[in-house]
Amino acid sequence: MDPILTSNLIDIFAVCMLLTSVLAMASTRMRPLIRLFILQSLFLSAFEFTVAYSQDEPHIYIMAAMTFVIKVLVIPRLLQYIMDRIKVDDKMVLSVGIPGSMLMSAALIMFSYYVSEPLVATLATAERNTIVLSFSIMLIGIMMMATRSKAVSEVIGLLMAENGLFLGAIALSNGMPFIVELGAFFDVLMAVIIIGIFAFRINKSFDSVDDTLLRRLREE
Amino acid sequence: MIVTLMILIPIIAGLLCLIPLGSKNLFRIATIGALASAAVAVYCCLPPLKGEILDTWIWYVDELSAFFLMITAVISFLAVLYSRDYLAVERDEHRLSSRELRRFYFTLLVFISTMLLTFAVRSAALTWIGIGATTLISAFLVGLYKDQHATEAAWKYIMLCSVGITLALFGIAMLYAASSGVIPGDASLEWPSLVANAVNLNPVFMKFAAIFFIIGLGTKVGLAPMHFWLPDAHSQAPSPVSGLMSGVLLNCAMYGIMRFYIVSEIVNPGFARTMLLLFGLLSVIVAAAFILISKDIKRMLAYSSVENMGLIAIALGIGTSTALFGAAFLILAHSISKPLMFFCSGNITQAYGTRTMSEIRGISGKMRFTGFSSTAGALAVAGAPPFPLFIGELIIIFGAINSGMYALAGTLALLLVVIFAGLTKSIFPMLSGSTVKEVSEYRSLTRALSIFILMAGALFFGLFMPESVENVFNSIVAILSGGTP
Repeated sequence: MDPILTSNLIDIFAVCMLLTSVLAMASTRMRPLIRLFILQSLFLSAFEFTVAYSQDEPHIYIMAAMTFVIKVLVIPRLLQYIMDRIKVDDKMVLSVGIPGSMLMSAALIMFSYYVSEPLVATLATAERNTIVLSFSIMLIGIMMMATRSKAVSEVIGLLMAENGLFLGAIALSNGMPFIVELGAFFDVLMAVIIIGIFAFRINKSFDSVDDTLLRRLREE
Repeated sequence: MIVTLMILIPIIAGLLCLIPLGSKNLFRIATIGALASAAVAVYCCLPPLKGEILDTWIWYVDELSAFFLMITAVISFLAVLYSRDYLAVERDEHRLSSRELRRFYFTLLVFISTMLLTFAVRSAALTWIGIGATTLISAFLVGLYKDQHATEAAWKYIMLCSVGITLALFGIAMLYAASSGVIPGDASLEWPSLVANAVNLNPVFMKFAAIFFIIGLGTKVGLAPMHFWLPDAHSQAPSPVSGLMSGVLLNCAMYGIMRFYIVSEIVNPGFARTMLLLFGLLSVIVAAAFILISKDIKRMLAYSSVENMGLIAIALGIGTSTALFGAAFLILAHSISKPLMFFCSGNITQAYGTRTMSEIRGISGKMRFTGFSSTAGALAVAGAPPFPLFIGELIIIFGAINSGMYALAGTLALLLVVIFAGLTKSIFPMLSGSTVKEVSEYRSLTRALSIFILMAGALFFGLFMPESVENVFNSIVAILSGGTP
């Protein structure tokens, strides 16, 4: 493939990942949120596939396949299944409203541009955008964990942050040793966390995690 | 080969624990497994401690790794030993079923194995996998009781630490980016080759790597302001696990930070140091405040761990050889003292059925041995002479004075006095006085033995410093300051 085309594709997929993150911050229901996560993982998988193709790296092909199978197919289904089984309410609990979340996302994106400036100066153009986007996606994911108080939405926040992480890690470090093992380990971690929701039946107990429950474990 | 054996033994013993063979055999398998792994660990660490670096396959054990490995293996064995009768009581009082007990031992032994793995590997990526795996496994130990508090603590623990290890992995990607083109291929994430080629690493990438890596693993170490999971997790876990988490699990992430610190200090002198100094100081301040107002004994001890990790971070932040010596010594001191006090508090909380300190009185009268060992433990944890924590703290303050940081030394001395007062003010009233409760000492050899060994260890390292031990500390200081030993 033409190198300009691949670098454009890489950029487009990365930007789409950020867009899904921002959309996820505007979501008030769980099921659309899971669908946005599927979409984002799909973009990540496409991104990895393009990088693998353009650099001819067998490692990254494995990563792309792994992302597709685990994050597009398995994890969303597992989440849906658990939500049905332990009857998690579809409605999310937001401690910051939608307009506030949008403003915070915008601020985080600007912040990412600001902090990565010294780094960006040393990079080639394609990587340059990807790094900033990866920072933004990670920060937005972490903010989602902090402001959405149900277990399932916290996990999706973490998963999205992780998508951002792998976006950056792959852009920065083609052919990093152990990248496949690291990715696989992360997937195991996520799977266990999700199964943990099921095992401990965290459906309602964390509805109010941000207020009452947390206070109970604090020093009175 | 021998290292592989050390990692595999606990896993095999853990799997055997899952087979229902009756509780006597369960305890026997677990204890023998932990003892065997500790013996193998000591055997394989002795040559590296004398300077013969073990470097095969994915394993790399130098003085620093061997030091941590030895502490981990021995304390883990003592925790398994202590847990035997502790859990038997829990089962007899129907807080745990036999099935949960089997699963507990499986988890505990795999947990020990992942901690050993963290210290014994050559690559930063594998160190990271080890640290992540310890989080994953220990979350189940925190959530063992499955009540609301335990579940919440476990959830908070795994969520916050997952964010931490996500950030740390990004740090590793940055580290790789910094080393690409400098170190060829597969060696590019290996700690020894990173140190050897540190001067050529890209400094901008290394700064970003330092930010992500130190904040990420700092979460796992329990440095303020990322420490929120720590008091919950440590207080909700059963006491033998609390001892293990405070005494050796925190070391795992600290070890990761130390390895990174060595490289980072060569590339950007002062950058990682400043970060660690700030986080460390904040941790000690936060810990001092919360120790004063804690009402729950295990939470108070958990905050004391935040304090000690903060002190170690400060010592790394000062970075002179005196301070680094203090850091290494404090790690040893903390790893002995904290499990000692957690095991004592396990005896206390089980006998009194509460963790609230104001409801516990008259331990010395009712439980002679626990009263005695708690006195020693409290003094050891609070940092009174002749216990080693005191010496470690003193060396670090000397380190601060020697490098002209008088304000830091003064602040630290003040905070340590506050913490000493806070800990003794809460623990000593529990020992004296009288209680109406029906309390009696648990007649258990294994409990007494593990506490006794820790007490003896604490006294030994407080009073003596054999030349061979001093040599180990000196070579750790040499490694930490970036020299190849």
